[in-house]
Amino acid sequence: MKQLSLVPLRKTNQLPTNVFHGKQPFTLLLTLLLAMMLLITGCSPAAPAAANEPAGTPAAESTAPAVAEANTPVDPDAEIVLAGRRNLAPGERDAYYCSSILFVWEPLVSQDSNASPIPGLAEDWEMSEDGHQWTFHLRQGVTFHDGTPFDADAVLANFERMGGEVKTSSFYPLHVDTHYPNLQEVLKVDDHTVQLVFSQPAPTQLYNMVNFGSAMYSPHNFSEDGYFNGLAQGTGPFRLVENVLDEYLVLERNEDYYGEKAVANTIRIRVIPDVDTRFAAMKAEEIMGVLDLSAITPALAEELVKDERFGLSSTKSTMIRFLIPNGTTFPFDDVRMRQAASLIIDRETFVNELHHGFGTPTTNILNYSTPFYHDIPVAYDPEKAKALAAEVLGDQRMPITFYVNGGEPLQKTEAELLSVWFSEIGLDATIQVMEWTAVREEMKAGTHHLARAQQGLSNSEAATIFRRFMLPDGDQNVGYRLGYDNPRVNELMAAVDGELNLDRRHAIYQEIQEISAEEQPIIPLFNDVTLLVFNKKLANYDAQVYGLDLPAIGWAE
Amino acid sequence: MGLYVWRRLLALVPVLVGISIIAFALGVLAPGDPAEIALNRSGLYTPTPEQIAQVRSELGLDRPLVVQYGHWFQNLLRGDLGTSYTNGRPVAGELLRRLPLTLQLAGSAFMLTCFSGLFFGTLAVVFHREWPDRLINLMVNLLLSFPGFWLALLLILVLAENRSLLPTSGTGTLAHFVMPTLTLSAATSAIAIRLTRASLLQEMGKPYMLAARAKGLHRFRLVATNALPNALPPVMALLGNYLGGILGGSVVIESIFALPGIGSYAIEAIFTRDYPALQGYVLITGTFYVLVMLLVDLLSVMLNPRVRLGGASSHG
Amino acid sequence: MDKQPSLPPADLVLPLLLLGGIALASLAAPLLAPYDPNQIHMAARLQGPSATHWLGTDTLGRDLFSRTLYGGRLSLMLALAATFLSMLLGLVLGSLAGYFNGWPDQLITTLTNIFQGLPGTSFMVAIAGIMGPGFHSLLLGLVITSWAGFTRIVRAEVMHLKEEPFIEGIRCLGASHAHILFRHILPHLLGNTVVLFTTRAGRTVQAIAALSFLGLGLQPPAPDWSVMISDARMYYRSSPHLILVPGVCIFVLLLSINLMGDALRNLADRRSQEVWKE
Repeated sequence: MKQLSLVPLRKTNQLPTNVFHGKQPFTLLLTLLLAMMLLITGCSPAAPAAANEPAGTPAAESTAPAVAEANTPVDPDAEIVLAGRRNLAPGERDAYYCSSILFVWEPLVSQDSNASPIPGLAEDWEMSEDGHQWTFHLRQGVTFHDGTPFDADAVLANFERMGGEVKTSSFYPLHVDTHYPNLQEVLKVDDHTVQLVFSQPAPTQLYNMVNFGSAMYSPHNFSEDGYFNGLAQGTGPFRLVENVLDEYLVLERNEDYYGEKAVANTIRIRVIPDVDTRFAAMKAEEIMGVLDLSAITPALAEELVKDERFGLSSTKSTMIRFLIPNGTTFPFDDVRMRQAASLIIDRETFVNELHHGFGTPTTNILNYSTPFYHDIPVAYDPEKAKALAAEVLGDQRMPITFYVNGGEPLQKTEAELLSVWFSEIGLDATIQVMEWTAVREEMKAGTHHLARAQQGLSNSEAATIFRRFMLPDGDQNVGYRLGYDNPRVNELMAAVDGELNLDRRHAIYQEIQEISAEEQPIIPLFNDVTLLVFNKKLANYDAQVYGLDLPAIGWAE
Repeated sequence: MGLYVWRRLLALVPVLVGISIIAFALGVLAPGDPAEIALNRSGLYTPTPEQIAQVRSELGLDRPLVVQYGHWFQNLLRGDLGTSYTNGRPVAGELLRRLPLTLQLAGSAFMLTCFSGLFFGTLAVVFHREWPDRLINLMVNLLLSFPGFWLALLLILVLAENRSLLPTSGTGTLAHFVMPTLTLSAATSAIAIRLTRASLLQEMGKPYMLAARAKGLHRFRLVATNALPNALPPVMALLGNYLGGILGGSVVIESIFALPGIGSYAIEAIFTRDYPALQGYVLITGTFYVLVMLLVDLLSVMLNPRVRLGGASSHG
Repeated sequence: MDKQPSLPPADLVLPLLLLGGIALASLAAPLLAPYDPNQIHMAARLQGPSATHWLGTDTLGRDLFSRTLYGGRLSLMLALAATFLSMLLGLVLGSLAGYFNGWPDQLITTLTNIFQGLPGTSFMVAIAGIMGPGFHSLLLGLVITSWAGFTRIVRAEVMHLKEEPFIEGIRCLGASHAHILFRHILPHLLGNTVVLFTTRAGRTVQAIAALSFLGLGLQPPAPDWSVMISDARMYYRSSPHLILVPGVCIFVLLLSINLMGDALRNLADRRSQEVWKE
């Protein structure tokens, strides 16, 4: 009987001494628990596990390679492994094949860090006096990865492909009408000049066509239905050489790139859907960095950089996070109730505590990354909120339904905090966690009082956002049941369509933003940031508005 | 025996049709407009009503349900499970591409379950009420009491994150499979051990065992050769059962360990309301499971011929 | 060889104490909890254990001890209800199918096969997606995905049993089907049923936890152990108590359920108890 306790204990003792770092009691506890688990497969010498499972091999062969590398001199061409949460190259059946952040394809018009249009494959451009024609001068001496020269014919082939049916994508649906409203025809002026002709003046066309709006691929890259017939063939500093869906993709430096060549020779980007697992892979040095939207949560990022091996980088993103009030039904059909709900939210606490300060509180409907953004002070006034709410509700309390997206772990916590504040103005929220698509359905049916959402900018033209959220027939206004209709906004938006003067445009946009902050058709919470973490073995790992400057990264000296 | 096999195969037909109906119904009942989802994958952009209407008619979503089912089933018979709403790729191809990984995972977990079940279960009975039995019992209870995902997180934290003994996630070497297999089979192994033990003990109490024991056979031989064959059928029914459980459990495990099998495909499908993918998943796991059960059934008939003839008994 | 006196319920004491403790704490939570489990206090977020907060506070500054006391209520109720319902279904349908041949067997077996063919976890997730997550969809999902397992095992057992000579003997003596089924077959199922109930109750608790992990479990702000774990996933490395406390609670709950099952099975197994008493 005494053996009963002795035999396993001796085994248990071995494991912790190996595994335990002596850091925290938590690790010790976990290790002990784990040792008990391991006992189960390892305790008997005849354990069948060994027959079938490589239970004995791990320690010997799978020690992370990165650890070994630390001692050897840095090989600048060694493969760099990164990870994101989804397929950054969804493949042939995606309208773009891969995300712009891979730098495989390039647009005619790119954007700078303030989201202003800058030359891409088009070196230069001009708009005709009446705003009906745009002429683009193409960069010369550029070839696609498959060797095809980039010229006016290639551009025409790409425009032809954008016509026809809407092409679906993990990023943005692709259709010529989205990025080129009122486009009549595309003309080849000469081999390196292309002209777009519009039926209406198109003064802000450049903003419509940045990045995803003017992606260029080799004319031989398309299948008959306008998708792709193989790996994407762009012009960018990286060529895509391998793409195994849901596992990884491999980029190689484009040695023939016309501009500054990429620093890294090979970059492998793995797909690791779970943020916790990405964190673990960072810790274990299996990956050197994360990228893409929601690459890491603020809490985990802060946790990771406690370890001095790691750094973080953040910058503005195009995303705004907000609440959707159902403006077609009581109580949020009353502007005072929306104002009350907005004023009771302590956005500073909200962003600083829950999002660790990654984000900027806002009451403006427009994201801060567009050049049209107008900074409006954020109001927080619980007394005024209570007074306004009392005007609407009297001394009644009102039960409300509040939908949040279960796909984002933090939204639930946010909602719990928000509902405590709302209870101060007489609103008793029932939180419902659902998938985003289910939330959308509920909103269409109008069963919500509040819902949590976010909106990115598909281009930097501010009017797109105003049109969709603030005009009576705007798709988000209708789909989210904002019930927003303001004659002044309608009038201003009508004026914008023909407005060629950029200053006057700015003035109009500013007024609309002020109206949005005052009347809260949606209740903005904060402007989001792009947040990335990386291993300090890498240099130049800098977050960008949409992703990361991939060509710049390389091994640190 | 041949007749019995045919009868069993015939009985499969309604089961398979039933599974297909449930799979189809899942897609219909789920909220969310697939046309809109197809157009708005990132959630960053909302398509216009015209775009939605166009895609709806392309996908045949504007036709009556019966027609949709008939159409769906016809395609099904040709091996066409439709195309994914989210990425436009054929679902069947996608499932086939991912299936080997899941089978590898489920297979190794299942083998581990069977081996540990039979081995430790038998051991526990051979040493009934002695320390190995108690130790095994303790281990079973511990295994059963760990929430699976919690175990996975602990394993990753201790073995991979802090010590780099094993890779945290992904595929590649055999080492990548160690943690997923252990977590996936932990609970089922425990149950298998338990049931083997229980079933063996029940067998040991039967009169014929008393006689066998009287002959003075060695304990191990007594259990392994006399009791085990008779104790197996209920255990096998269970093991077959838990292959389904393992396939289902792989959903969580695949998502934690970033394994692109059909389990993580299903999760993605659910999160994105990708009906054809979800239907394909339910269908393929369902069919697979039914076939395994058939196999188990035939095996248990071979092991215990008394069951085969149904009611009208008679044995020598 | 250790010879114990004919097994006192010693092995029942521990699980009974544990389960009783958990049940009592859950029932008396409103009396015992020092704070409102949903009271948010942003200034006191993520604190460690202290005199004011015995187990510390969570991401919203709520008292962890109070939340832990409340945390077992829903899971326990749900697990018991779901297991009981599916076991009831399984016993009835399984013994019918196993005992009577022909169409009842075929019908039930077909239904069993169909429902067992459904991949459990994702089917439950799908139901949560369709009905909206919460108590009702969890209950429905759990019953739908587990009744068939019970049925199948009960059926196999009954089929096995009814070929036993003693049943055939009773049948020859002219006993009615009902008599055989209720007086002779069902009692023999008891041992395995108890084992099944406990393992299933354990697995149900596991399933609920797994769904919460996937974000489709019980709804906030209801304090629940599994929900607390999933809420704490981003914070557990620096605030381990957030995941340890509810995790240990689930672990202890499962452990006591399992030990209880063991003890009960030992009681039911008296016949084969002293296997090697030679």
